[in-house]
Formats: sequence, structure tokens, C-alpha cells
Amino acid sequence: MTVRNAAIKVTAITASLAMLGAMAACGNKKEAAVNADGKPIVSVLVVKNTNQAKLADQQWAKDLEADCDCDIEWKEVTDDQWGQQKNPTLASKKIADVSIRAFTPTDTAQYSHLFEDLSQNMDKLSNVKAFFKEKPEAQKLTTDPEGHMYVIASSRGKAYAGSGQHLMINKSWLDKLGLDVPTTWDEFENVLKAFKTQDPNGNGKDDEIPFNIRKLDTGGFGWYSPMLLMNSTGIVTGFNKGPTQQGYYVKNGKVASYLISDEFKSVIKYYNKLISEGLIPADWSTKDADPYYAEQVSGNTGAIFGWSLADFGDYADQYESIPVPSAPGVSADDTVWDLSTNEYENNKLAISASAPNKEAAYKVANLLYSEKYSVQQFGGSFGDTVTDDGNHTYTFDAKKIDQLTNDNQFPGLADRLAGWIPDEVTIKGDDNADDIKKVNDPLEEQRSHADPVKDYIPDYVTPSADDNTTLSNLNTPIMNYVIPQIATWMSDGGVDDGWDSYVQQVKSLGVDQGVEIWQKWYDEYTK
Amino acid sequence: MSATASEPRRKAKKASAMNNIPAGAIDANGVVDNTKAARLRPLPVRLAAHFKHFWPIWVMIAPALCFVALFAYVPMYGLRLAFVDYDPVEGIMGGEWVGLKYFKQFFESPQFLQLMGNTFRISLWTLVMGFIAPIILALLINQIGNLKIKSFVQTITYMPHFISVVVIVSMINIFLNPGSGIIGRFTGDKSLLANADLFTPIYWITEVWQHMGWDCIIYLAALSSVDLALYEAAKIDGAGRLQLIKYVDIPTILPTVGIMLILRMGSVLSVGFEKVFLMQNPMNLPKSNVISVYTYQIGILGNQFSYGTAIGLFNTVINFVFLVVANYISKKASDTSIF
Amino acid sequence: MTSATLTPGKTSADEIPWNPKVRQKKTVVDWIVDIFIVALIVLIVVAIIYPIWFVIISSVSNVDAVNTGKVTFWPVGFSLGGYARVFQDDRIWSGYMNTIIYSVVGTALNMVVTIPAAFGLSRREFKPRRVVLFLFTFTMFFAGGLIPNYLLFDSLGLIDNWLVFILPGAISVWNLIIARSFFETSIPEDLHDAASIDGLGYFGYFFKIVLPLSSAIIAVLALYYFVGHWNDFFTGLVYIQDDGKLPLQNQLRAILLANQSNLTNTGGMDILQQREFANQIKYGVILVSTLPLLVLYPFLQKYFNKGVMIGAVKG
Repeated sequence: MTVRNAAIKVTAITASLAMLGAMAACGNKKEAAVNADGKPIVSVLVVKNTNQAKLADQQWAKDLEADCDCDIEWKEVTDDQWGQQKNPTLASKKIADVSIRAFTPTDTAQYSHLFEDLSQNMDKLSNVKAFFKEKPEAQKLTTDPEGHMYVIASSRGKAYAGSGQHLMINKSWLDKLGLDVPTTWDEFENVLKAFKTQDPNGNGKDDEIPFNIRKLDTGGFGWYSPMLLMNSTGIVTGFNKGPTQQGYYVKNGKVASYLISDEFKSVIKYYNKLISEGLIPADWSTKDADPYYAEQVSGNTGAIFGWSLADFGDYADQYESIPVPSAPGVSADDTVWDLSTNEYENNKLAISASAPNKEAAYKVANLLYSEKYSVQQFGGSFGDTVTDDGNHTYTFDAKKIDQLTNDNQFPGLADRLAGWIPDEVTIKGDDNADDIKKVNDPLEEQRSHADPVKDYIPDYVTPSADDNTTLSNLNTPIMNYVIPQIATWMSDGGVDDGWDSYVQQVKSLGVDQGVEIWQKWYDEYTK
Repeated sequence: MSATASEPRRKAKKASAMNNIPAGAIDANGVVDNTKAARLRPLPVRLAAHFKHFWPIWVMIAPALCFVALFAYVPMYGLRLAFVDYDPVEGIMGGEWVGLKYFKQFFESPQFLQLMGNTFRISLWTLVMGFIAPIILALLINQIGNLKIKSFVQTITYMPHFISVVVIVSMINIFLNPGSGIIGRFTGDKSLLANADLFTPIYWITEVWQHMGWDCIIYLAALSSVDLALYEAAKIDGAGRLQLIKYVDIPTILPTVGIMLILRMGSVLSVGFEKVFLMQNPMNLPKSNVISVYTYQIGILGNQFSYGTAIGLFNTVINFVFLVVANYISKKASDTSIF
Repeated sequence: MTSATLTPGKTSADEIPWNPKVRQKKTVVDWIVDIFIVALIVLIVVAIIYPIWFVIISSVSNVDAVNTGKVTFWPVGFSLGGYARVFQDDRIWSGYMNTIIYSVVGTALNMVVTIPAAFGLSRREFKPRRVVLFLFTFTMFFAGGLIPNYLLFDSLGLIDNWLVFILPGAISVWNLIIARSFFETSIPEDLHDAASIDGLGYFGYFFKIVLPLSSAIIAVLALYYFVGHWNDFFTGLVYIQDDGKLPLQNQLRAILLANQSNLTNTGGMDILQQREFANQIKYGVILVSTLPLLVLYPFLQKYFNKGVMIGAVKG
């Protein structure tokens, strides 16, 4: 019994110590605006990827502190954490002085009282001003119709201007079978049939997957969605983000929903044909991401939608990206491609309206958008992973960066930078940019078939918070109805019989109201 | 036993000595009814008597009460969000009163019936099966005579509880993968997951599989308090193994079973978000769309605090009503209750 | 009688009723029942052991082999690379340290708060208990939500403070109810009568008689609480910004999510490698994070394998 008594005593003591600790913690919580040396303190919150090293330890971060003559308190959280913390910090008004990649224009519009209107203070942000002069579209991205700007966009350079979504095909199979790159759906189908029947990998087994597609996302259409084939019909997608994920698109300035269009129906029918002929795996609609990737790197796949050739692992050099084949009755000139871009992100830097040292906060923000710190945010500190060759030329130590990334110690923010890589900058050794350029080039021509404003709802078109809510409440039931329906049609057929009642149902769920809202904001922003 | 017998007499003497017995507490024979007398005393006196006797109990429950008051009751004002239009400028205490607007919005949503149906179906299956399985498992484990084997079985059955949902769902996918999975190789060229009607069974079977070992711990603990003398007595009466289970083991765990059943009734409208979300695919969506996923889509992605809170509150109220009713029935029927 | 005999019982294999020494003859029905029980147990154990074995072999197999269903009974493409990389990461070790501290201190506080309260509320003569229990139960269902909690914790200075892992969860009503029901049903009421005759107050009765007889429920509660703390990742997700204070679960999540969070946006070779890595450690982390719990369990098991109540009440 004595052991137990002792245990009870120990726990009692621990408990009371814990209480004391809590009180102590309450007692000494005062935030001074200057540090011991009298330098202003600026808190900077960064939402990081989990493979990025602690920023406070990086040389460039220390240099930044010296250059702004302030004391930076870094707060570094992961996406996972921020997903939970964003709303409580906004609702409790506890935001950091400077927030990087934390708030979207929609957030800042809703809580505009918490943020500085940066458009009023461009004088303090000379580098951002220069950025906007070179890239006016970046300024548009975060400016609301009244001219306010609460958050600054970023640019990681022209190398990333492409959509990042590509149709890639096994070129060595094509060559082996003596086939041309398909330019129409019929040709594409014939190529896939050849892939299936003529054993292009030459192992004597029927293990080729002519065309692999991802399962549909239950919330809408996104990255690498099979519905990228909509572009074959002349309807431009923007599946990185934005309204085409929910079916809204624009053609010649007129917004509509492709969910109830004949083009959509023809894509579904085409897929059904391919699936029923065994050219797409029958279990496509339930296949998890992991087995999908496993098949992708196996070298047995004929064609996929994906990011770059690196998706194929060891078999990368067998593949190449091709322009999307045209649907029947659509001319090559009318065939288009996804107009998303990876160059900009619109949620990069916001300054708190209640920052105690506003001047210092602006100074930090401006420094971040300088070439010197933008490049270092992108690839790591000078002298470490990046060499400054002078004359706006930089060299990345690709090997070292690779190694650090693998150890979850990437020395910067990569694509998450709050900065701007000007067009005059040349970066050598940025593998990602080289990869992406290689797959983008074949699609440039197709992308130019569409007008980036008349045929594509530009990324800067942002509905108000209220309308966003309405849209979200409309789209959730619509997508919950549409996705299972089309997945069934793609797998099992029957689209002709069910189409009319489907259109009725989608309309009764309020798709026209969604179209109206997007038309209103499209007009507002593009007039 | 003599001490017990003399107790009432001593008490009676003391009571009459106090000399302030209310008239209502003395019956026709002049005998004082102590309980009645105690109840008829003025409130402060009764309170004083209560605390004089029960202060140790108050001391024992005080820390728990304080923690609950501070960390559960203080933030409860947040529920008001369900009845107001959340206003980012005024924060959580502001906003215009809209009454039941958001509840109506939910009830009138085109998906309401589907969501309720799916949520009830999935959670009831999981609730019933997840309730019965651990009891059976505990009774079985209790039948193992060899302590080493017993410990082995217990440890093995308890392990799946610690596998994360992500991995569970990955394994479901791999096992059901047509052609290659350990189950999927027998099911043709489509995954069982593509069959919407199989969503519920797959969900509850994996739930039971994962948690029955963990959930049976409480019954094993209850079985440890069985009076072995009862076994002896039953054996002398010639009881077989089944009879022992029926007449000794089951009655021993019955109060715990009752409590667990009541507690589980309080989750009749709760289906965990993560697992359903990860198991969803376009083919099973009509049968797998549940309230928690909808709330996630609407409330979190759409940033609608008020609507999300209203749906959550609706959920909670239904659950609470079920618990209270179950508690009431159980209290009447078996004197087992949680309050 | 002056005192109840308060000797916690001992048990041995002899007392288990189906021990052959006790029951010599088995009827046909008994045999059938026995076979049925054994068969059922074997079935359950196999159904559970296979997926666990699968987790183990998957954690040391080639990722693509796992995901394409080539791994069935034995590892394919054996490698310990996943584990090596998990343990190379410094974050794992600080996470382990934090988790152990939070779990031990947290469980200690939990026990100190819960057990006495559960005992108090198990006393039927304590009339206010129904109201109090209702107040407790109510909080299992109705909660203010994330934002009011955040505001409260902020005003208490708990944001980014390790005590946020300890204090707000100091009591779980579910566990309180379970413990109370145990005290109410498993501790014979005669003991209380006897104790009060011996002049023991509630404290004396609780410490000297009830606690020694309650090792089973104490073990169960300690296990529940400990595992609760051990697996808690939500607290770290919401209330902690300094990653030096994050527990193991959050660190593992971070490593696991390293590839998924930005999969679509950076692309390239790095991402491919990350994905393979994350896929492999997905199975490995389960073992890394739960091994201590699996070790803990057999240690606690012995507390509820005993017939503790034997001979507790005699006379």
C-alpha cells in the first residue's frame, strides 16, 4: 500500500506544480514592442511546407533582420496547423504583424479591419511598386473593385507561367509501333488500342495500361482531372483553382456552366467508350492516389494527365507532353488548353493594422520583395545553396538542394516565397523550372487559341464574401449530385437516356443562380 | 452485528434531545420520523447538516467541477453563433440575431434527407455491432484458462486500435483492390468500394475490427471483480460453461453494459469525419455522404461559422435527446443510469 | 463483528472453474461449447493478426509493391530505409520527449481529478449527485467550439504553452462515468457500512478501502487517459506554433504530410521521392508511435486479470 500512497503523493504534487506553472505563465505575458537593444520587434508568421527548415536559422533570415534594423520573431506553422488556426486567430484578432502565405484576398476582404490597406502605402513598398509596374496582372490579382489591397501576390518567375497540367504520352511506344502523335479523339483512341493490343513494352504480357485517369474528386474538378478533355471541345478549363473547378466557364464574355453542356456530354460519352473498350482501367473510379502513382512509375502506362515527365520516375525519358487531341467537329484552331498559371500566388503578404511597429513591418515587407531576398527565399542563402553570379544571374546548387529537401530541411520557402523574381533574373540549376518548361512548350500554341479574359475567368475575379457563401451552398449539392452521376455514366454508359432529367435536376439545384453570380463579378472586374 | 442494531436507538435519543423537532415529523404514537424531521428543518440548517456530513465528497468532486466549469461551461457561449449572423468585424459576441434561420436552411437543403438517412444508417450499424462485439470478445477472452494465451489474445486484439485512419483506409483499398487484393482478387474487375450498398458494411466491419479489442477492456475489468465464490457455487450446482457465462459472467458485467449502451446512444448521429471522407469515392457518394462531411464542405471550406455551428448543434441535440431517453428507460428498467 | 475482513483476494489457476482439477467430467455439450469458443477465438485472432502483419511487412517493403498489391505475406524489396529516415529526423526525438512528458503529467492530473470525483458521485446517499452528473454529462455534448476555446486559452496564457496539453483535458466525463459506475456496482455496499462503524469518514473509506480494491478500474482509466494524451494531435495543431513544443503525433503527421501538402505545386523529382518516402513511413510510423503503448498494455493487464474482490467481504 505504501507504493500506492507514494504514487498518490507524487501525482498530487505534480498536479499542484502544473497549476502553479499555469499561473506563472499567465503572469509574465507581456509583449514589448522593442527588444533589449531598443530595436523594434516585428512578428512574422510563415505558413510553411513541412519539408522546409526552420527559417530563423537561415543566414538570409538573419541578414534580413540586420537590414531592417529590427528584431524579427518568426512564427512558423505548417499548412496542417494553419488550417485549424486561421479562423480562431482571425476571430480573436490575434494576427502576426506580418503574415506570409496565411490569408487569401477572400479572408482579408472579410476581415479587412484587421489589415493594412497596402494600396495606400505603396510609397513604403518601392520593390512591390516595381513588381506591379512590370507585372500589372499581379496587382490586379489582389485589388478589389474599390481599389483596396490587403494582401500582396507573389511571382516565382516567368519559368512557371504554364498550367502545370499536361497530357503526356509514351513516345517510345508510339515510335516502336510506328504511330503518329494523335491529334483527334479518333486517332487517340486508335493509338490507345494499339497500346493495348500490340504489346509495346515487349514483355509478352498484356499488362499495358493504355490510358490512366484519376478518380473524380467528390468536391469538384481539380488538378489532373479527367475533365481536362473539355479543352478538346473548346471550353477552357482552369483546374489549378477557380470557378471551372465547379463547372463555371466563360466564352466570349458570357458565363455558363459546362455541367449541362453538350460538350460535357460528349466528353462523358468518349470516356465511356474508352472504358468499355478496356483502354482505361475499369476500377478507375475508386482507385486511390497511391496505387495510381505506383502504376504511373511502373512504365506500363500509355498516357496520363500530370505535372511533368518526372512523374514517371525511372521511365521519364520515354514520355513527352502533347497537345490535347481535338474532339469531333472541333478544328485544331478551336482546341484549347488549361489556362491556369503557377507563376503567381495571391495570398502572400499581409500586414496587421495593429502592428506596434508599422514602419519596421513595412520595411520587412519591402525587403522581402527585393531581388536579393526573393531569390534567397526561393532557393536558400547566398553562399550556401545559391551563388550570386552578378548581373541578375544566379546558380542553384541543385544537388545540395535535393539532399536538403530529402532531409526535410529545404533552406527557404520555394514556391511559397513572399517576393518577386523579376523577368531579368536568370536562375541556373532550378530543376523544377527546367522540367516544367519542357512539358509546357508543346502546349503554348494551344493555350494561345483562347483569349485570357474573354474565354477564361481571370484569377483576379473574386466574388464578395456573401456571394462566395451562396456559391458554396449551391455548389456542394450540385457536385454531390453531378459527380456520382457522371462517374456512373463514364463507367457504365447510359448518358443519352438520363441526360435530360440530369439537366433538369442540375438546374433545379440552382446552377443558373451560380452562373448569374459569376457573370456579375466577371463583368465587375473585367469591364 | 450488535453495533448496527443499536444505531437507530442512539440516533433517536440524540434527536429528541435536540428538542426542536417539527410537529409534522412526529406520528400519532409520538414516535419521531427522523428522515421526515430532517427534511422539514429550515434550509440553512439542512445545508449546514449536508455540508457537515458531505464536505469530504464536495472536496473530492471540487477539482473536477472547477475544470469542467472553466473549460467546458465558460466557452459555451460560442453556441450563440448558431442563432446569429456571424460578423467578422464584431467578432463572436456580435452579429445580428437571426433565430432559426440556419436550422431552416439545413432542413430545407436539397441534401437533408439523404444526409440524415446515411448518417443514421451508418451510425446505427456501427453502434449496434460495435456495442455487441466487444462484449462477446470479453466473454470469450474470459474463457481462456491459460494466462499466457489470454494475455496474447488480449494484446493482439487491442493493437488495431492504434492504427491511424489513413492507414486503415489505405489497407481497405489495398485489400479490396480488384485483381491483386487479398479480398479483391475474388471480386471481379471492380472494387467492392464502387458498390454504394457495400459502403455501410465495409465501414462498420472495419470499425468493429479496429476497436473491439480496445472496447472490451472495460468489460474485462468488470469481469475481474466477479466473485469467484459464485463460480464455486454454480459448479457445485453442476453448471456447465455456458451456464457459468449466463449466470455469473453476464450478470457481473450487466451494469457496465448498461452504462456503455447509454453512452453509445449519445452518438447515434455521429459518424466520424475522417474515415468516411477518406473512403468516399464518386461511386459510393450517394450512400456515403454524411452530416460531418457536409459540415466540413459547407462550414470549413465555405467559412460559414454560423451555419456550421447550427448543423453541429442540431446534431448534438439529437444525440443528447437519445442519451437522455436511453438513460431514463434504463433507470426505470434496471436502476442503471448515468444521472 | 468489529471489522470487515479486508484482504484483497488472490487467484490462481485452481480457482478458474473449468480447470480440469475442479471439473473432472465434460459432457458432450461442454465439448461442443469448448470447440466453438476456441474456433471463434482463433478466427478473431487470425482476422486481426493478418492486417497487423501486413502493416509490419509493408513498413519494410517497396512502396510500389505494396500499393499494387504485390505484398501479401512476406516483404517485397526489403529495406529499412523508411525507419532510418524517420529516426534521422531530429523532430522525432523532441516529439517523443514531449509526448512522454505530456502523457505522464497529464495522466497523473487526470487520475487525481477523476478518481475522487467518481467516488464522490458514486455515493447514493449524496443527493446532489444527479444534478452534478447531469452537469458533467451535458458537457460531453454541448461545447462552445474552437473560437471561444481559443479566446479562453489565450486569456489564460495557454496558447503556445505546454500546459495546454494538460489542463483543458484534466477530466474526461466519459471516464468519470465509467469509474463512477464501477465504484457503484463493484464495491460492495457492506464495506461502507463496516467502515463507518469503524469510524472511517469518507476520506478514510476512500483511501484505505476503496482504492486498494479498485486497481482494475484505475488501470483502465490510466490506460484510457494515457492513450488519449499519447494520440492527441489536435491540441498541437490548434494551439501550438513553436514546433519545439509539439508532441510526437504532430511531428509524425508533419513528416507524413511533407509530400501531400504541396504535391501539386512544386512537382518534379523531389516530390516523387517525397511521395515514396511518405508512403513507406506511413506504415512505419504506426509502429514507431505505438510501440510504447503496446509495451504498456501487458503491464496493466495484470490488474484486471485478478479476482480482486475475493474474500473482500466475509462475515
